[in-house]
Amino acid sequence: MTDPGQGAPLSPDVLDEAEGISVEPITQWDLFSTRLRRHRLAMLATFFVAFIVVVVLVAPLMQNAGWIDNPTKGLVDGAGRILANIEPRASNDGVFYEQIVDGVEQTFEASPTAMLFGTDSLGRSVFSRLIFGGRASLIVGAVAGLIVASMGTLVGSLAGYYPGGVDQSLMRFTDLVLGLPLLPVAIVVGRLLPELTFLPLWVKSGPFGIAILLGALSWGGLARIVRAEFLSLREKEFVEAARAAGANDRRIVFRHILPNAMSPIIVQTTLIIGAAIVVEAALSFLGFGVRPPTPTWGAMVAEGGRQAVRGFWWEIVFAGFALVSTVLAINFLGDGLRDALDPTQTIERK
Amino acid sequence: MLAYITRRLVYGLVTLLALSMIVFSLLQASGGGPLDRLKLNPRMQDLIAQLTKDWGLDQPLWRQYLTWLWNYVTPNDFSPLWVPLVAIAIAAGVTFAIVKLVKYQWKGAAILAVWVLAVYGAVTNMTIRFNWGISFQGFGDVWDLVFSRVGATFRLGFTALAIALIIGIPLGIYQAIRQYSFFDQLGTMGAFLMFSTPIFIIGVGLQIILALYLEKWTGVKLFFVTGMNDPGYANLSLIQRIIDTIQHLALPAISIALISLAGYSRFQRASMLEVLHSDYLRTAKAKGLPRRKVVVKHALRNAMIPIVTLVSLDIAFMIGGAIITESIFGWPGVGRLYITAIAGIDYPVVMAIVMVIGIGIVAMNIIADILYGVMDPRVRYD
Amino acid sequence: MTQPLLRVTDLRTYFSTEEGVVRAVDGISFDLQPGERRGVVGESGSGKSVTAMSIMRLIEPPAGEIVTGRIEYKGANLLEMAEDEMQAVRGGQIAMIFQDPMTALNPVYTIGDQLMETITLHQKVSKREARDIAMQALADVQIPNPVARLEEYPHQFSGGMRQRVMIAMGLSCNPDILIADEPTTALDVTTQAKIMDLMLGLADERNTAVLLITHDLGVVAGFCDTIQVMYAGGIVESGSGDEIFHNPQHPYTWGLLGSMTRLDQAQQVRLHSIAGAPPSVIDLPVGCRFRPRCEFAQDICGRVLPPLVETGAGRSVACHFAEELDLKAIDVRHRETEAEEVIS
Ligand SMILES: Nc1ncnc2c1ncn2[C@@H]1O[C@H](COP(=O)(O)OP(=O)(O)OP(=O)(O)O)[C@@H](O)[C@H]1O
Ligand SMILES: [Mg+2]
Repeated sequence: MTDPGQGAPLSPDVLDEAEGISVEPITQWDLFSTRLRRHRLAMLATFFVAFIVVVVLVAPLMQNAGWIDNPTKGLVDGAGRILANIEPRASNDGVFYEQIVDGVEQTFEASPTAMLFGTDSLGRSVFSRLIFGGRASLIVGAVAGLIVASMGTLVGSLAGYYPGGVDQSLMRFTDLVLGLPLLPVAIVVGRLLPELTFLPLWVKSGPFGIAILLGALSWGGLARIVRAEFLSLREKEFVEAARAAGANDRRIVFRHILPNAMSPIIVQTTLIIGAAIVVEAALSFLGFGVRPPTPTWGAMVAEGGRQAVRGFWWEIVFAGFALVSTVLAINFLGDGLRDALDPTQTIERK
Repeated sequence: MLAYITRRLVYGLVTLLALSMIVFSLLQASGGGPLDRLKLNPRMQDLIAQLTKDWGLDQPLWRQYLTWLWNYVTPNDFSPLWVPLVAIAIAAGVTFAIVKLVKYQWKGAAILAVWVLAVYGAVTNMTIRFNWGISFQGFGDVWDLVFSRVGATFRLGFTALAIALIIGIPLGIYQAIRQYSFFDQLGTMGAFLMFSTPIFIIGVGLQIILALYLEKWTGVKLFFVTGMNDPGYANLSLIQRIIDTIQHLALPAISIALISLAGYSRFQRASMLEVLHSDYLRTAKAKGLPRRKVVVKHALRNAMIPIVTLVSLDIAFMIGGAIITESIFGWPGVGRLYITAIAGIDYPVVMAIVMVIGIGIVAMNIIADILYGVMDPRVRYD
Repeated sequence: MTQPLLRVTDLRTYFSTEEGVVRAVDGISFDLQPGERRGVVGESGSGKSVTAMSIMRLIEPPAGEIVTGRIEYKGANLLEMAEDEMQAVRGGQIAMIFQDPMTALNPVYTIGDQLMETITLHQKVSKREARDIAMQALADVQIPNPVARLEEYPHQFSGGMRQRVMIAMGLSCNPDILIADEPTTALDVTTQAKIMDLMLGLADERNTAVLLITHDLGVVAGFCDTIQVMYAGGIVESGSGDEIFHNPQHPYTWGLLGSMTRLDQAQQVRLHSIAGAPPSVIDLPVGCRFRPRCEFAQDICGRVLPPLVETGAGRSVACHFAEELDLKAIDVRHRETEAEEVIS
């Protein structure tokens, strides 16, 4: 084969051959999906999460189409009385609510799902609020997950690939972030976010600020894992071989090490998404998360709890169920991914 | 070992400094200060000026921070200082003796007990106080305020910890011994469910079902949902006091315990399984040891090592972890104080509690490492 | 007629796995006489360790089960013994040493504790006496400064020293039988010979019979009185060390011998390797298990499993053509042709 010590730099094609480890994407995927499917719960969880994501994404469309109600508007009956704390029932005869359209207040008939899960203490449809509340949770999960995955991977791989000073300083920084107590700090920041006048509005209110906050506080664990993975992978034969074949650093990292470090990154990120959703819900529950009137599951549990004391059980039950089942599904998914991606596990072992 | 601990301490201090700066500047950057409410009242201008000066609110940010930091670490009253010093000296001596004399069993527990006693003795017998400022919300001296609440948090936290340990660890061990049995799978599912359930749902759920609805349906009031004791606690007999305490403590403690329990049982199961498949366990069986002894003497000892770290870290997060539960159950602990303080942007109290939490975490991390070394002779510090 | 110390009859140990039933040991029988040194050889996965674990009754249900067979120790069937009687046998009368000394000792107890645990378990001695015995045992396996070493933890010992400790532990109760499962595989070559000499010397002093498991024919040939060769869960050949070594009657043994370096042969002789891999013990072939890899296989081999039959004094072979094949004679010629083939 070509001697890397002399002559022109090798073309990528030749390199691929020389390195001889180009992974067959199809078989790899096959392996992965068979394993994931074998994990039936994880499969079920995947469908469930996908379902929730779709429902939450199309929520505004559903509202426009009149299938669900405005989550921030109280329903009123024909006589104009607010329908607070109405028990779940199927029909919605004689239910209206007002909305301002083109500067004129108009009365709408409520959607067919208006009463499905009952109404809350302000007469708003719990069903609709649940769906819109999922938006906050999923945005927080997705954005925080994204931040964690990118920060963790970046810091971890830099530290793992460049030993010495870079590694030392990055890992001290990681330790520092890991040393911050998550919930107490998140509570402070959550409380103060709306008061930080210099921040743009989309950060101050709504789920994005919380998501960024949680992401920024949670990437430390992943960075450590990625670093450890890099440390062990960079000594492996195939990396040595690639290096000997003349591959440069970027190539080695992106073609050889990162793909092999992918599974812990994916698994850890999935679990972080679940955790971020829980923390956001906790912040909202305490009143320091996404601010009203934007509905969130955490705030619905808090409000539902207060109403349940008075005998109105439904809001907390539905909101709690939505929250727990979503987090449970994400955790199952993470667990299934861990099993499916674990390279030490052979396919024969069921 | 000493070098190792010193290094860990330095890292810990850096983390604490960073933590304090972050929280401090956030509090400052939020613009609206504690005096906002007063500002609405035109007659209060003099008072505002006075307070601004007293609290240093007109100084630049870095001045305020340095002032705060200096005050935070400066004791303003330390009589008698010899109490903690003597306690530390005795504890260090006894620890040294234990390390030298006791061979392995109970070594970790003994050392931990010595230090808990020493700290308890030092804290209760001394009057060292730091200048942590005065609550902006009018709750008085922050040091007194925080330490008047710590007891309640510890009562809740340690009860929960005890429940979680007493149930979680045997559960995990049993699951490992009967791996794949129905019970094991049930436990795994249960732990997964607990893991994924936010603590506030458990707390509110227990409150509603076990306290309110149970009373509604049966007419028996088994549990209370707010507070730590009955208002008329002082007039109760001893038995009544104990019952009253349990009735108040049960639900919040169980909600915290349920979640840690899930973690402990999972963790214990995993480490026990690893040990059960180890070669040295096979050696122990081949010696002719009875099965029970193989499990108790050889497997448990090893399988308990990793959980020590987990428990130490849980103790570290006790205050932070109790925030939500305390606010649900109106528990008069540090966690609820924290929420109250944050809601009113009460700088000194927020800063004091954040730092107490941070210090606890740094300290417990170091203790966890030391305990690990005591439990596992293979560990070397370097 | 003298009763053997240990008599194994038609032992079958199966594991149920998700892929099917693993017939790890499938109908083996052998005797072990007092003071005998018996070698068990075979490739990886041939069931050597499972045989040993079965004798110790350390096969853990529900995954593994001894389905049939008798293991008579001094006339009493170990498989029918109550668990507490069995505990007295384990470590007391039959001791076992495992393959990997690095992990065989409990990391959190001192060497002394672990030795004394065995001693007090099987002998009625005070703690002090047990300590003395433990110290003597360490001295016997030539560990310098045993008094201080008793207080140390396994991680403070090297691999060779740990194996010495395991030997000390195994022999500390003067067992009748010592089962050594590849006791030196994990060690470097110079240590191997020393440990082996030491172990067998100490066993001889105590008149302890040794069941030495290894996949290295050279080791058993040098150290053992009798050898049994195992293949895919069965014994294919057994006999005295000399006999097996110089006059193999089973093609598998012959192949094994060909695959080892022998100092008594000219250097040019090319090492022979047995083609193919051992069969999966889940789907055993019908007939002789070695047939797919056997150069001399014929029709009958694919249909009938050859039984282990006696072919001479203390000599048995499980091959249909044991009498006809003169493996010793074709030995050299065959190797030469093969060597030529490879070169050309
Ligand atoms: N606990 C178990 N569960 C399932 N199968 C097992 C178990 N233990 C052993 N086996 C199987 O039994 C067969 C024989 O294993 P054994 O350990 O006795 O081989 P061995 O001859 O000792 O090999 P080695 O030289 O590698 O030690 C193997 O196929 C192995 O996979
Ligand atoms: Mg083996």
